[in-house]
Amino acid sequence: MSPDEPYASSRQVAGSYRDPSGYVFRREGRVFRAVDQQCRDLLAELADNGLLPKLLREHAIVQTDFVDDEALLRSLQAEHPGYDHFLKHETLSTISYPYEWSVSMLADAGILTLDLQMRLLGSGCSLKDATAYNVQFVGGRPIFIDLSSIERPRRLDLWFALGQFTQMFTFPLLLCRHAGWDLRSYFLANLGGRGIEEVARSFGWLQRLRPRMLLDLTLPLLLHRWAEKGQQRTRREMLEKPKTDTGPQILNLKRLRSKIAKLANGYKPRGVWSEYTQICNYDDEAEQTKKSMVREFLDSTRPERVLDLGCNTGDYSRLAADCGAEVLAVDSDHDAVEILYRQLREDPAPITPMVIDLCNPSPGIGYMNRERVPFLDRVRADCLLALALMHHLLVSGNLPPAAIRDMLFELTNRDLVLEFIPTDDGMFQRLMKFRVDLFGDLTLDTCRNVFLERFDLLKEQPIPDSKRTLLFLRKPTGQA
Amino acid sequence: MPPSHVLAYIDPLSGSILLQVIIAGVLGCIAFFRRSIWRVLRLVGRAKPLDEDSSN
Repeated sequence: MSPDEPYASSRQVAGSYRDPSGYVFRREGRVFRAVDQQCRDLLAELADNGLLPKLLREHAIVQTDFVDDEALLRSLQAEHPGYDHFLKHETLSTISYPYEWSVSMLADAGILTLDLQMRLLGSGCSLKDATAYNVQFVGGRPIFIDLSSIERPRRLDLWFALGQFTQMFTFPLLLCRHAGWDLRSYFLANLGGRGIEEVARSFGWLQRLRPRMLLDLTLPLLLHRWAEKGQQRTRREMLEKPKTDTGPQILNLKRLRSKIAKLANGYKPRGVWSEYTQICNYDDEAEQTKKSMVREFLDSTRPERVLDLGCNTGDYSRLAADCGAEVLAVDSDHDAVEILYRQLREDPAPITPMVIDLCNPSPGIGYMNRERVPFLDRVRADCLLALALMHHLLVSGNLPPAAIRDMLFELTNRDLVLEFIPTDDGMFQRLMKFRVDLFGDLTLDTCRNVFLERFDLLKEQPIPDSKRTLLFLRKPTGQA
Repeated sequence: MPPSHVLAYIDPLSGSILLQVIIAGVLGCIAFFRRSIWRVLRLVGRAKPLDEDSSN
């Protein structure tokens, strides 16, 4: 739902077609949701009993209003035949997907889903699905976006979406914690999460017998296998009996909630680059000068959105947030993003962290390759911070300087702050330890020339007491 | 109740539904037996007579 997605007026969002009770569309830069009569009545009821306003106040769900302006309603009805009711949602500036989250982000999204389900049960309602794509991050906190997921089911002792919840949250967290998986591999290859048989194979039978696996993997697996052999019809009839006792479900959800929190809290970040700030070869003074240079630039240019590439644990993201920008902080190191996210929990700031490998950013996946939008089509910023980044892309990513320039040109609407790192810099040398030196002709002059083919130079400032230089660049007007 | 809301539009995964049925069943049994045990204890005079509600 980013405002920059290339959707024409009143166009259905590609990722919103599975739920038959409504869909999301964009119209003139705003986000709307068409809902059927049943969904509208239910939401109106929840608005009257106070639950919906309370969730909105707590920012647990995305800001939403019923469309009741007559003229707008009439034109929406004409544009969306079959639907009479519409909701208007707050437009989120950044959309991220579970394969771009860190472990604690996924856990918090799961906890939000469980809390919402428990509170809905109190009003006799339930969530009909529990996909991680129903949660987005705003200012470092999760927020639930799919209001048409709310329904009034017959049975309140069972949650039909629990299986989906397990595939979307419990399985990936178990696999990350106890089998060395990463969320990117888990989610990118399977939009809906992995099947129970595949997850079971990743653990092996000995692990499956451990108590922590019993209720979420081993027993459901045995029951799944048993049910595959059994009669479908008898089970279906059994599930249609109305039951209103929420006790058993709430007990199970509370158990899951504490399990998910424990799985994420027990995860120990230990990435190479997450310790960068401790091992970085700057002296403090150079670092402070660099910070004040970047701050001065941000203060004078006042970007609304900043994209901090290679953000590490987010020092410069915080600095940009202090200057009033909304920040998207990306790094390829999961553990650095995890540390940044944990810090954001303690000390909130308008920063959205994401795990992104710039040499291989998230592709478009799902239906027609458009259901989940590629990273480069989803993200734009007024200012890019590419600090201590270029040597990684050059050496680890084998990207030539012109290719780096073109990618950064794509990502920014206006400015770019680029830190030039010469080949004799300690951190550059560290990456080059066992490599053939292909960068003999890389100097500040050659680098500047490459970037000036597409950018204008605003100013250039050497960082005192270091060999590095900051280049402040801007896209020529008319190319934004 | 409209029939469209009886079953899920997503695949509910039989294993997880059956597990919840079992959890509901186990909790039901515990509640049932807890009530019966109090009745038996009261009959043999081992427990104070109580309101039916407070033993739940």
